[in-house]
Amino acid sequence: MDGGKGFKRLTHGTLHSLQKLEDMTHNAADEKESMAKQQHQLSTLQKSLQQLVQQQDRLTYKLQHGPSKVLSNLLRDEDADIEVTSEAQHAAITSSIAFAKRLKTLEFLQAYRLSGATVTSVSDRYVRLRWDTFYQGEYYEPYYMELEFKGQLQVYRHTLPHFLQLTNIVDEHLNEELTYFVDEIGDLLNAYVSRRQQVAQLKLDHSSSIAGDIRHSQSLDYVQITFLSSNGSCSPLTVDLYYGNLHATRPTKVLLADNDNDSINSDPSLLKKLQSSLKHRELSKAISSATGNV
Amino acid sequence: MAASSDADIFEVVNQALQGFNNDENDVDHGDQLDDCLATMTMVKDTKERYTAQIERLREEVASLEEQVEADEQKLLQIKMKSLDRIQSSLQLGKNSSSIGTDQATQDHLKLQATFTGIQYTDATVRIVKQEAGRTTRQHCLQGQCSGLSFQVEFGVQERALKDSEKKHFPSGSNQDTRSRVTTLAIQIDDRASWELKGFVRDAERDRALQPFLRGYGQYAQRFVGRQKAFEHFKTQYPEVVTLPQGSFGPIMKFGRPSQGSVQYIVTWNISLSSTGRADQEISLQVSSSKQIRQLDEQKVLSSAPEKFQQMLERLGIERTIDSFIQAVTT
Repeated sequence: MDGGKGFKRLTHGTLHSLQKLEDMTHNAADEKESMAKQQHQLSTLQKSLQQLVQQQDRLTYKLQHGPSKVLSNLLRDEDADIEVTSEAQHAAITSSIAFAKRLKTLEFLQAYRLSGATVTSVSDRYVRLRWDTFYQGEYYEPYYMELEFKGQLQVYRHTLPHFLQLTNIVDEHLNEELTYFVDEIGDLLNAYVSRRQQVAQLKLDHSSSIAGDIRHSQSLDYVQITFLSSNGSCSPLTVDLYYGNLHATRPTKVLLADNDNDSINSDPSLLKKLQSSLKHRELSKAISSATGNV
Repeated sequence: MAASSDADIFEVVNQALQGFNNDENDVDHGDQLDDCLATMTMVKDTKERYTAQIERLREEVASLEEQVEADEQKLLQIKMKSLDRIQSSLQLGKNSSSIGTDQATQDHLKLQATFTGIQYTDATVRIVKQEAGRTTRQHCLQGQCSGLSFQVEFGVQERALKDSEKKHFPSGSNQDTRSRVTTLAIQIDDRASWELKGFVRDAERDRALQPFLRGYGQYAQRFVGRQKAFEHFKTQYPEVVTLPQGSFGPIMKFGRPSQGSVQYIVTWNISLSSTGRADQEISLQVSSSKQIRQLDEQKVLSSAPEKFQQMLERLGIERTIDSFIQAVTT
């Protein structure tokens, strides 16, 4: 290749093109490969473009002629008779009704979850139970259990917390009264979520007056909170809360101790106030009410 | 090279690229390189143009998809009776609930109805507010439990969960959002309202949707059980049994007509706990004149309530009541 001629040509293209040009001059195989690649890229881009145009057309049509439009036109006048003028219109209305009813059915299935416990048939031998936990108007995490039928029902696997002591509940109720079994587990899960969320709320509301972390058992049937004194004149106060069983959402026993743990129930009036308050209010509000904090 | 549309440009560029790749072209290598440069420029321009168009179309398609979804959500605002009206006027068949739903979904729905005791008859949903990560919807659910109707209207605020919140969940919970009931209004069957007034009031105040739905199903089963039992005894012993508040009420009286001054009163109350678990309390009272009580030296009448409770534990409700009626009337 002539050097002067080559330089003149090279001034026309981008850097990318120059590189390509050089490659093509020196290697015919590379030239072909590069061109084939360009062809492929262009072809791919054009296909994507065509697909998107089709998708846009389909969606635009659906928006203009979909079930919502079909039915809203029919329902504009609730009392008017429905007149169908063509087979196409009849078909459009039929499919729109079917679509709307399918949405309703799916909504029903969602609504069943609001009642706390639902069941799904996994196969001939397995069913899956689902519990949706609930505390103070809010739905929390779900838990699952798969039951296997082997002459009688057995727990195959589950995601329930280990501290629920399932063995007793399973032995006593699973094959006796399934509804009772489901309710019992649902109550235990809701009670656990209640205790957990009460502690979480306490942390949020009283973070400035709590010393260190709140200590608790895994099932939150024991909670220990150490409160800093409000004016620094007295030592921190430790509150121990005991929940009599895993159904409990209010503590059944309350102990107070000062910093050295050697003066249990050091303040009888505060203890009495706290005990009374905890019977009627959730944890954070009870602490606020009894101590005058927050 | 004149090319008006994308397809034309694609064709021209494609031909140029193919021509360059063809070994049999007997042309000067310098001219070939000139053509190549021109082609490369065209290819580059075309690719840029395509890419820009694809980007624009993707945005438009995403926007259209949102609009279609919102449009479909509007379908959930239509009441079931309106859909049924259209359906019947088009003579689309009587089995309205199964239209549009496959057999597997129908079976799943039946399973839920049996399991929960709730049969939904309508569900409407309206989006009230939508902002980043939060959607507020207004729901209305209608249905019945063992023949007792109900309607719940409630607002739900759904928010996307943060990763820090998700990590505390048990494995397999797959939860991305959390729903909070913001308002709750409950209407229940007139036949049950006298007994559940307090429970419903507290549930509305506490936005206790789950306890209500769970509890109403359980209550209704017991309500029907009580009603059937009372009606059965009224039919079986028409001369002896009276239902002062009808078969929906909690009281049944019986006594031998010739002994008008002795009345046995069965009170059968059904209650719901705040968590939505039903319980029932059944007791027997004996109403008699002072004169009769004085004659009851063996304390048969005064010990009847206690004996009734003992028999309840052994025989169950219906057999206990039946045994008492027979003992009194024969």
